[in-house]
Amino acid sequence: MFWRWLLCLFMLSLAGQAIAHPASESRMMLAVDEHSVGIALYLPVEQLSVAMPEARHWNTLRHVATDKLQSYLAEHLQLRSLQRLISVQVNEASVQTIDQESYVVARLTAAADDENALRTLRLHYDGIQHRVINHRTLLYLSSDIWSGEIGAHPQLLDILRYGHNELDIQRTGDSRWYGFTQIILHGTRHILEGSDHLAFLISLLMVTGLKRRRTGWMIKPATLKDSLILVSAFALGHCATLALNTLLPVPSIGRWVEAAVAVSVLLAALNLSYPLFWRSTPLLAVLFGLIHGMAFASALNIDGLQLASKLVALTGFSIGLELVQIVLVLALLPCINLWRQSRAYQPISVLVSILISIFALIWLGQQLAPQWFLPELSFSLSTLATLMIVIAVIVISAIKYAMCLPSSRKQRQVSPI
Amino acid sequence: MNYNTPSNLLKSTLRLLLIVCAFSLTACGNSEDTLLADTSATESGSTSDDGSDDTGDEDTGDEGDSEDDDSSDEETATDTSCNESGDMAELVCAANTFMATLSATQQNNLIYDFSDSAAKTTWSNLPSVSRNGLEMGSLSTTQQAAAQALLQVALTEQGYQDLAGLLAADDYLVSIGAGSNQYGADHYYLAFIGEPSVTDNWMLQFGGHHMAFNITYLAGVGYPVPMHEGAEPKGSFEINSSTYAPLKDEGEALVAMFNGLSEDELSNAFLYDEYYSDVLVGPDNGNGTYPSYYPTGSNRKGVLVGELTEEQQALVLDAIEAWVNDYPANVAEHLLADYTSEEALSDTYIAWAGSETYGVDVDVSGTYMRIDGPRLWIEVVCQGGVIIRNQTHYHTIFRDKTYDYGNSL
Repeated sequence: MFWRWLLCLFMLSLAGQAIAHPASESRMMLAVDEHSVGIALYLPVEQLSVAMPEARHWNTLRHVATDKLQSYLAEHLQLRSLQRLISVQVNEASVQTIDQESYVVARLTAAADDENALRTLRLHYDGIQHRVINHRTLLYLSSDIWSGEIGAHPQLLDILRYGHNELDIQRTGDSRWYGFTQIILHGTRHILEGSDHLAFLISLLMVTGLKRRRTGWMIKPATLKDSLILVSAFALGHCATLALNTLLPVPSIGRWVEAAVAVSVLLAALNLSYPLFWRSTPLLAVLFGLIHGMAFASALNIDGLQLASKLVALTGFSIGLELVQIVLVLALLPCINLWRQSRAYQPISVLVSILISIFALIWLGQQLAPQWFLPELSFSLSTLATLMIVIAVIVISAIKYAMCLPSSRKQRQVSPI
Repeated sequence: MNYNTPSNLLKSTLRLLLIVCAFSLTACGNSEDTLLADTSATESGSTSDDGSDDTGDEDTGDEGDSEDDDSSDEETATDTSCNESGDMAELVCAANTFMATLSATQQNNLIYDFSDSAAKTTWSNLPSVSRNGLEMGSLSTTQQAAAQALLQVALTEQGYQDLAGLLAADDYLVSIGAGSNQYGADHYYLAFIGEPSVTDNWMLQFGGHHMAFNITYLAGVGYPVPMHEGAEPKGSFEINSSTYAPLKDEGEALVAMFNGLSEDELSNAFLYDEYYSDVLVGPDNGNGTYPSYYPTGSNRKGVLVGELTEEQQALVLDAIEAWVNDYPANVAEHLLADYTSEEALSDTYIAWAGSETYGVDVDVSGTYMRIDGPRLWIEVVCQGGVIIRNQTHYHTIFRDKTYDYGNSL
């Protein structure tokens, strides 16, 4: 499921080429696990049929004779470690139509006796190319539990082609701990670089613990308990969908995820200036968390790994996400509380609300009508920079407020909030 | 959403954070609650402006281009006739005349550094991939005319006919339903790698869908390789009441070469167990390196030209000339001498692949023809149609194993 979605993404990025390029390329994705390597192979049926004529029948029947494919690959795909051949087993294979083209999609496992056997691999592969001389296979590393490589964008290792059918794959990561820390970092990077999640968190924190008073919020300091409940509810929600979407074949709402995230940010931002959710806020935080979790899942590619490794990767990634959120809560909450004593809190929160709403509307536009709202790097940079500034302003004003407090205490007593 | 490279991210964030810090620190003098809060309000306002200004700057850069286009139209009272003697002087004059029609921004976008290997190797057979230089559709009529005049000097009549025919073929594809955002003569790009010069080194690049002219001039001697041409439709077609058949000559010359072979020779030239759905040594896609995967040793297969009769060899020479004579003397003469010397021909193979039953038939998908010399490399493959589904179409490549890009990467 996820692989298919991933390949669709590739194809989309190559959309122009796919139209004008009848001689399609094969793709091989490697998932380096603790004791095995998962391999996903995408073979364009039209090219495969030249090298292996019966593949044409597979296309008609929409069924792959796994044993035939197994013996074909035994001839053309070899993995060696320290001169020893590692056996490669076809687990499943099917015919899938991806971007209007038929592919034989096969999932294989190469299992070694001990983990050291996978330290240096020599891959030999000339599938299709042994016959279709101009055929190329793009070789990707999709995940590597040892180096903490679990990103959604697989790394292109090499292009196998005529005269270049062998490749040495050196494992970069050396210890499980190294891989795990890299995965945690991936989680922190993901949330720090994704302005939408930051915007959502800021909007959430700025109203935490407030009570509705007619059409506005009654400004009062938030307790740690309020914030913890809110943030844990959000975490509960996103952990649930993150795990479900990566571990089980639970259908995700696909390309609508980012749009739904944008809507959630918009609602949270509007809520800042006009109370929309004042009852059962934790429940809503769970709901929004579910949506954001699906978005998190799309930043993760652990397909092809064994269940144990998947769990390790998920745990590391979630720790990374939560670390950032906990730090944000701990750093921002006291500042927000201090700041709430100031008269300017309301106008500023309205300003922040407007700012984030505009961003959210543009994000929504980018998802719904990409032809009008082309995602631009400069735009996403400026949104992120602006959010960083919002955070900085909150912190700096709070510090200044605390520093300037003694001299203005008298005035504050005159005009209480 | 979009994630950015950490370094960019860090830079812009740090820069804006500094501004904020500077603002807020200077404001602490008047330590009043409300004042303090007010300043932070204006800060968040002003900083968000900063952010949008950044994007604005980049946008206006592009808009500036198009405005420049219009204004430069009026300035172009330049003399378009180049009467210099000698191929190179005439070419450089035409290049300068073209540059004189451009705005400063356009000139800047046109010219790349001669040491830029990535730019030199940036070309493809595909439509709508990123290319170097100026897009024809973005130029004014005057500028387009000057570009055309330049290409006419860079190529012979035979060569320019091919170029014009390939542009027309893309317009033809649009006329029968291909998307005009990808296809059509507007989507071809002109670039100079290095400044045009009679004595210095530079490269003229013109290309788009099914076309890549990469002519490197080393002190006035030209190397027009790698050169890619493809044609859909491959036969003759009519558009705007003109008839074109851009790669008909090239295709026919190669077929004639194989038709000149005896039955045994033809069978020896057939590449058993080899199938080509495209050319082998295709686009370099900006990788900045020379291709390293030409067949070598016993993998060089086919019939040796040196062992053919004089008449048969003449057909091979005709085929080679169908490519090389697209260029004027300062490019073609030295190449022809090298490619067709007795020594070179004794190491030049001609080979074909596809279906032995159909023979060398360009209307059969998978028919493949090749000339493989010590330096020369020409491939023609017949692929199934992309827009015109019931016809095959050509993909061709002309390379020099030693002098691609003038051996200047």
